[in-house]
Amino acid sequence: MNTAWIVIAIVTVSYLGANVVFTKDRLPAAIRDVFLTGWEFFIVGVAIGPAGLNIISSADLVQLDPFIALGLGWAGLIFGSQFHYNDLKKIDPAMIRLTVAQAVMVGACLFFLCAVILSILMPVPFGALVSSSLAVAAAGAISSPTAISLMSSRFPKSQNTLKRALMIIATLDVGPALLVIGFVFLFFSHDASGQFSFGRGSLLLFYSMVISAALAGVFRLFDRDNLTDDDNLAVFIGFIIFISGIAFYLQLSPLFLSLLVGVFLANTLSHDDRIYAALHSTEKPFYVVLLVVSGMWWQGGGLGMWVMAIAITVARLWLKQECLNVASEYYLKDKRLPPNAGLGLGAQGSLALAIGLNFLIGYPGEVSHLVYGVIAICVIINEAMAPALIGKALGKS
Amino acid sequence: MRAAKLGLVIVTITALAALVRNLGAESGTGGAVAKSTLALGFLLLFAFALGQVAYMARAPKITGFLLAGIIAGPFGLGIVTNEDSAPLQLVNGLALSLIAFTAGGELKISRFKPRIYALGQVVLFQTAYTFAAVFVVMFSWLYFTELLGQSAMVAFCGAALLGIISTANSPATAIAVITETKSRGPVSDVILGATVIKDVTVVAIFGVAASVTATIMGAGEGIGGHLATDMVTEIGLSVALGLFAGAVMIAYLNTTEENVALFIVGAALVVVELCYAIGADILLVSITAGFIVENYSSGGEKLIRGIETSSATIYVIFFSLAGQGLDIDALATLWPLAAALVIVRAAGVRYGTMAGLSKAGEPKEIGKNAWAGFIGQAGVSIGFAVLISSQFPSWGPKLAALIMAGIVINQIVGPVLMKRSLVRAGEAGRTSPGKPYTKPEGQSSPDGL
Repeated sequence: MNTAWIVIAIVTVSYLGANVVFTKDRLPAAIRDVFLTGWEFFIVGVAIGPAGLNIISSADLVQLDPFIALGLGWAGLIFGSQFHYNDLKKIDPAMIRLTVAQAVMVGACLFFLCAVILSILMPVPFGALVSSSLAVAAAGAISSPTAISLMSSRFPKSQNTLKRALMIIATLDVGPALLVIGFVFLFFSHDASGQFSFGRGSLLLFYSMVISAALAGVFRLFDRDNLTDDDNLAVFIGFIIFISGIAFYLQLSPLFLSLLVGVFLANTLSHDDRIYAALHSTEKPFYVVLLVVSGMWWQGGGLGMWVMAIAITVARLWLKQECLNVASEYYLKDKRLPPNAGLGLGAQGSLALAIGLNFLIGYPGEVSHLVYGVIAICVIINEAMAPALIGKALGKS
Repeated sequence: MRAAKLGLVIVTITALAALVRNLGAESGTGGAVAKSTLALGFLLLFAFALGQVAYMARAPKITGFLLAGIIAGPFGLGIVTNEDSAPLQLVNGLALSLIAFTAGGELKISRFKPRIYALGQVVLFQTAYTFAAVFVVMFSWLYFTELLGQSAMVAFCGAALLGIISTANSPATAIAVITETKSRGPVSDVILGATVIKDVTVVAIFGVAASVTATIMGAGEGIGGHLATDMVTEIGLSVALGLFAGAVMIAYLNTTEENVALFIVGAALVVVELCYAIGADILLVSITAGFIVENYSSGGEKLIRGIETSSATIYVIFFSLAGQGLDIDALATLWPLAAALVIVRAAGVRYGTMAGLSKAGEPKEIGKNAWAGFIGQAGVSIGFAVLISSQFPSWGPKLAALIMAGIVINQIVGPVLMKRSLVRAGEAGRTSPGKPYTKPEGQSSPDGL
């Protein structure tokens, strides 16, 4: 099938999806909660992909690489644009430290667990073992605020402080994860050995910083206040394609590069800049597209993948709870969060899938398929369980 | 100040693109698809910036987009090569389809009905005058300079084909300038209406002429009568597919007002792919579909509005890629002859338009301004040039090079002349201006951070 028909198929599915994914009022409450965040579109992707009906074959998927790079660039930009220094200053510094600490602790533990399981499952060169484990750890460290936000009206006002704390943690803990995936792309070679190269990585990091700063400067120079909405959209689309093209061309992570650009932009643009409205107006369809495309990349897996995925999922949930408790006790002291609060961070969201997908197209091979499969299974299980876990964290704490 | 900023943008993104390409070459990264993605991103920003510069110089933005394509393309800086742009044909087709939807959507019968006779006369006289002027001058030139060889018959056939191709216009250019200048009035109506009618008639006439030429010259065995029937079949197929696409779009627009833009992009993609698959003409299919929606449903406004939300992006992509594909080499070698062709064609277009409108009893002022809207030349003419080059290998490539050289000049000069005429006729800015941006009150940063 040629690229156009694939795009048409995805646009159709996503269009239908964007219309139904956030309006499931007619479903019974129990089922509605299970499908709260729309992860069923991952299953739709699996169904039309090579592992399902093979409407879109493995060979077809390669043609989607530029679109994926584009989507990843968009995701990085939307996230990076939230790192506005003045906004961050309004958040209790202890809360930011807590967020980073729990993400780093969860990520570090998952890294070692993944490395051990991977080395048992298959012979992997050391560099590839480290980069693969880092990808799983980065995806595992992430939490998603979507489910909390969708369920927030169900909980009493007395829980508002906890809800806000969980929203802040779930929004900010993506930062360290995206930095990690960015560093993997910078420092680990893209061949089967996955060799670590400090010199090449440092040079690419330097170039990434220069390119990001220059792009943010270009964006400002367009003098967008004098442009119509239509013209602004053209600049915005061109900008995302250019960032993604640069990342794709230099084998950098589009997530990482656009994150850097987003951070530069957030701290140089005014608060009410139209870029935010443009980014958020495309959020729903993008979310569905990402889920469908991620599903299409799923190629199934053996028992080893499922065992590893379940082990990682269980470990992650336990770690999220315990690491948040430890960090909360250390940083918040007398204002520490309730012991069950970490369960509210169970959902991983589409950015975790984006990290997996980014790793898969950046490091094609057997190991990355295993890694992607593990990440995808973890995300789906966590998304399905998220409403119940959030209920437990917010309802009983 | 604004010009300085735009200059800085142009320099910075060009330097960035060059840096990235060098880094990629050094480290061995960057496959074909990566190159295309980078090229598209660069071209969008670069062309947009040059479009703004053109706007500041009171030229149409599309002139800036075209120049950007030329500068970035293989005959300029070489940042976007033909190899890079080849995979972007889908994007290009998509943009063309959306532009043509707009053109069809602008053709409201009730608006054009009072002028239908005048449009017919314009098409008739303009075609006759342009063909006659170009044929006579070019036959003499080709015959005496022996550019295509010593045969008088070759010079005759070549001049005839040149004459027919010279009658072709660019509906995409016309609609782009009308949209950008927000023009509405008799001059805009004549330009748009006649351009669309000519888009159909010129294909049919060229098909017949090329078939006759092939029969006379004995070129391309078996082509003879087939070329004409092929082209008539193409027109029939295109109209049929356009009617079907229009009906589907009406059904959607009657059902919901949600996600119109997304639906139109999906519909345009389907149209493009079907056209490639069955050999229909994207432009004609999309114009027909837009025309049907505008005139046989209440959804025309929704259609235009849906496309307008992203029209700047569409025009930047389409015209910068068109500029990138223009053969500047041909212009460099054939510029005296190309300049003569352009001047003779312009004279034929001008006096043909004025004669047609005069015959229809329209005020002279309309003719004095409307002719400038028929100078732009692109897609169809380029397609004819490629066809001539392949069907008549002994002299076709030389003629095709001349046609391409003429197109380069027409496509750069045409939009500028058209914008000036629309402004002079007082039609610019008559449709509702773009919604000004108002900053939302109390908007916080995303996710309430």
